[in-house]
Amino acid sequence: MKILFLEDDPDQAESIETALKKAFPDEKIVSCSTESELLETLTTIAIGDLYFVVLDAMVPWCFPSEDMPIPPVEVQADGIRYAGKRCLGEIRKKFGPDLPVWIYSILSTDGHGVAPEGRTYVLEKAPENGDLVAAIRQVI
Amino acid sequence: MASRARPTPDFLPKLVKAALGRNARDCVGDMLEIVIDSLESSGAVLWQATENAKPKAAPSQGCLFMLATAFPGIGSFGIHNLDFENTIAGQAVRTASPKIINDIRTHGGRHKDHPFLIRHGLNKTIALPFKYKSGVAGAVTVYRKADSPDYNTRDVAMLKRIFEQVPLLLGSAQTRARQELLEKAGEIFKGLEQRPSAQTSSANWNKAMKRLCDEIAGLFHTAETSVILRESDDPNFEVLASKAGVAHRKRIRIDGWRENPATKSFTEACLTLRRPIRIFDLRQPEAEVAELRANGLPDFEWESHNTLEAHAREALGTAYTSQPNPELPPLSFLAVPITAGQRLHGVIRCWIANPPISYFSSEDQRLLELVADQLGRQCELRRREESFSLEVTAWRKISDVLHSKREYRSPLTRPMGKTESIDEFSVGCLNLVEEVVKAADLNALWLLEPTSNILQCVSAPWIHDAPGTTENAIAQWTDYVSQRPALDSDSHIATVLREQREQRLGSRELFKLPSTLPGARQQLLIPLSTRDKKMGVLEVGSSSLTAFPEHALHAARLIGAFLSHHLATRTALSGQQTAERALLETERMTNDAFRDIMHQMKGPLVEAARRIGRIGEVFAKGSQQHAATVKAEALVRRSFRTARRVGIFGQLVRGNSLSAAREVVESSKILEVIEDAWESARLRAHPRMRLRFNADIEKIAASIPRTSVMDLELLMHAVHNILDNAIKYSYRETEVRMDGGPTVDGGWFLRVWNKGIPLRSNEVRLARQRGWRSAAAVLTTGEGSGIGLWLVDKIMQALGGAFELNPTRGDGYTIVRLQFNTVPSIHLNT
Repeated sequence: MKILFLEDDPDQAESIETALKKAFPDEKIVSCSTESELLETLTTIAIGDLYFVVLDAMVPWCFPSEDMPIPPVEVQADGIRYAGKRCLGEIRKKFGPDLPVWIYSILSTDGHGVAPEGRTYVLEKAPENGDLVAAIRQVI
Repeated sequence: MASRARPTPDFLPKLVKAALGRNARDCVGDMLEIVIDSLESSGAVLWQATENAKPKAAPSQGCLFMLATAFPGIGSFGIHNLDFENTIAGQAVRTASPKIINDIRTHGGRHKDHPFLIRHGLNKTIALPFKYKSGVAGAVTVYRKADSPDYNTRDVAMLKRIFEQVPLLLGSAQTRARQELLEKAGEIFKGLEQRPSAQTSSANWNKAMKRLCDEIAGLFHTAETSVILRESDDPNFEVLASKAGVAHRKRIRIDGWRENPATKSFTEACLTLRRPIRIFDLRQPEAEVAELRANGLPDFEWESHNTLEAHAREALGTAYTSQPNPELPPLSFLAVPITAGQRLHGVIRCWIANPPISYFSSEDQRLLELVADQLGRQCELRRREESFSLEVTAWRKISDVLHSKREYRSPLTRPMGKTESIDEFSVGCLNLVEEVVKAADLNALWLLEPTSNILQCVSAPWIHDAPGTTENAIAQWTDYVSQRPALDSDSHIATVLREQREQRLGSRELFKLPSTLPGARQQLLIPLSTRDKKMGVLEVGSSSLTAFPEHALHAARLIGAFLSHHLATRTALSGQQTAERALLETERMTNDAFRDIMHQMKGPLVEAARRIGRIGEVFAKGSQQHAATVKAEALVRRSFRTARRVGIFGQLVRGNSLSAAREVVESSKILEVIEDAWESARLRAHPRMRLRFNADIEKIAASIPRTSVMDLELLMHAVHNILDNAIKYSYRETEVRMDGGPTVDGGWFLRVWNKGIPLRSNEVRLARQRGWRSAAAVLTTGEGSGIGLWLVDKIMQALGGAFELNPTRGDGYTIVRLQFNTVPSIHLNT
């Protein structure tokens, strides 16, 4: 199965990926850095092939490039602030409410607009990502 | 006892008429004759007034309006004139007189023409007030003893009869008498103006002058002790004094007042007052005393000037009376201080003999005050002119000394004479200053002050240019004292120093001490200090009997200010020289140390850098932690930079150029900041962007002038921000380039190239604004708040440089340029 995570900061992304690899060595880690990249990745993952998801709350829509994807209206309106929330919505649309999703951010619920509910968990970022792994293990 | 009829009141009108029509002296004589006769017939009920009675004594003018008689069995009778407060009508009335007069003054106005009773113990006095012009002029009184029969209606009736006559007598007689005398004076002077011509015989001339002078002498009713004032501008008095046979009279020359316009009023006042007048000049007490002694001042005129001044100060601005010596003949002085504001210049005083028979009237006082006021104004004008002239002259000469550094030989001269000019006085001041300055270098001096009123300027041994303590000052004083004969004042001065120095030195005010110096009556201590530094005390002794004269105080202030300036300047110069020496020494030591270190440490430093580099490489390879790798890489870069710097230093040191080394230190620090920012940007770039970094560090280093110095922290922020922008908005797999170079005007520039989100021409201006972010930037990065370029713009303004932001070129590159001009020194931060 695949583990999907979204993180734009390269250092943090590397750290999270390392921790997840160590905790779930048998799973495939799929990492994304931008919102548009994650949406594109979702189209490549089959339903039932996703183990759980870790989302950063605030990520850019895309990296600068000459052919940047055109952002949807809500992205243009809200900017990068609610990127995690939007990604969560797309994930729920495709994979349903039973897929465990962690919003892993330095922001609080007020900051990213996602409240813990059902299989949606909110966790504040911690050094070395130890809390993230422990929290995932409690659920899975 | 013979029984005599009570005198009829009818004699009184006759008596009044007699008084008005005859010589006042004779009139009073007649009155007293009646009184005496009545007293001799004690016990008689009635007495007769005899118009033919001859005076047995020549009463003074003060008794002119006194009428006293005895009413056997009743008491005494008197007329009290309030204008003649000293008038006393005989022994019987004398004791009760003060109360009676006071009561008349207090209650007379309310009773008008009605009698009122004055009680004094068991005795009673019935009084009938009378008026002259609009005020109460006095009262007619009948004094009744306690055991006498009470007053009866007859007594009152008689008093009323008398009262009907007295206003004329009391009110007009004084004016009349004076008018007579003034008319006589006018005739005299008119006679002088029309004095006999040269053809007139000598006998006639002498006769005429004798007559005139007798008349003049008559104006001064106490001729034997009168003082004739000689006024050079007034030929009348001169003539009178020299030709009237009154050479035996004491003449006082009043210098200093001669030019005073008030002397005309003064002369008039003499004539009007008909009193001897003397003016005491308290500004020159020594001269005054000498003059008085030389002219044989009458004993009664002699009064200690200290006492005179004390009295005058006590009564500053108001007239006062005095009786200086009870053992002297009966005299009464009326004096008015000559003042201007609170400054006392002198005293004008007139006197009369035989008080209280003679008297001063309120008119006398008013005239004297008028003269004193005019004299005071003139004195103040003269003092101001003198003070201003002194200040200008003294400062001009002091300025000459300071600028031309002329050598003033100090003669330690004699005391300045009384008549010495202001110029001479100023030179004397400068001599003193010169001596003090020289002595200040030695921390001890003994000076003779050459000005007129400051006899000695005695030792200021506690002048010391270093801020010392009281104990140091005392020690210096002690050392100084041990080298000269001991004086009584020494211990006192030391004590005073202990007590007062610390608390008084901070101020700029002069302060005085009781006299302790030999030959000095007073001491004046002049604090020597600048705004925040206490430097010592200059002490000046004065031989003045009274206060320090104004110009002496002025000179003291000048000297104090000059010395304070001198000492402060000397201290500052000393400090500056010390600092310069220290700086030179520091530079020399730094240079030597720098050279030694570079020679000795160049090899080890390079070797250490290499070793660190190797360690870093090994560390980087062996570590799984990215942070450690970063740290190792940083160490590697830093070590190579250090090595490069050492190499540069070494080259410069070989050239033995400390300044060049310093410049390189500064420029190398600039380069270091740029390199740090560059490396930091590289590390922060997202690996997935796969950006390529290309910096021409050598070219940048070569372009930075060695003399460039600036605020490195600001520089760091500026470079960091433009590099951060370049990284954030660059497209994937593009190149971020940094280069630099010199500008034509001696400056240099730093340039960052990147190819990414384009900056359109209409966005150039917006990009400098705080908080602006392009729409693409908002979508592509989670960082930033739109203040980076705005901050760079502000920093470059602060550094005196320029920030150029150009629209993206056709090849897709956006170029940001920082231009550094010659940097003002205020930005030095190292």
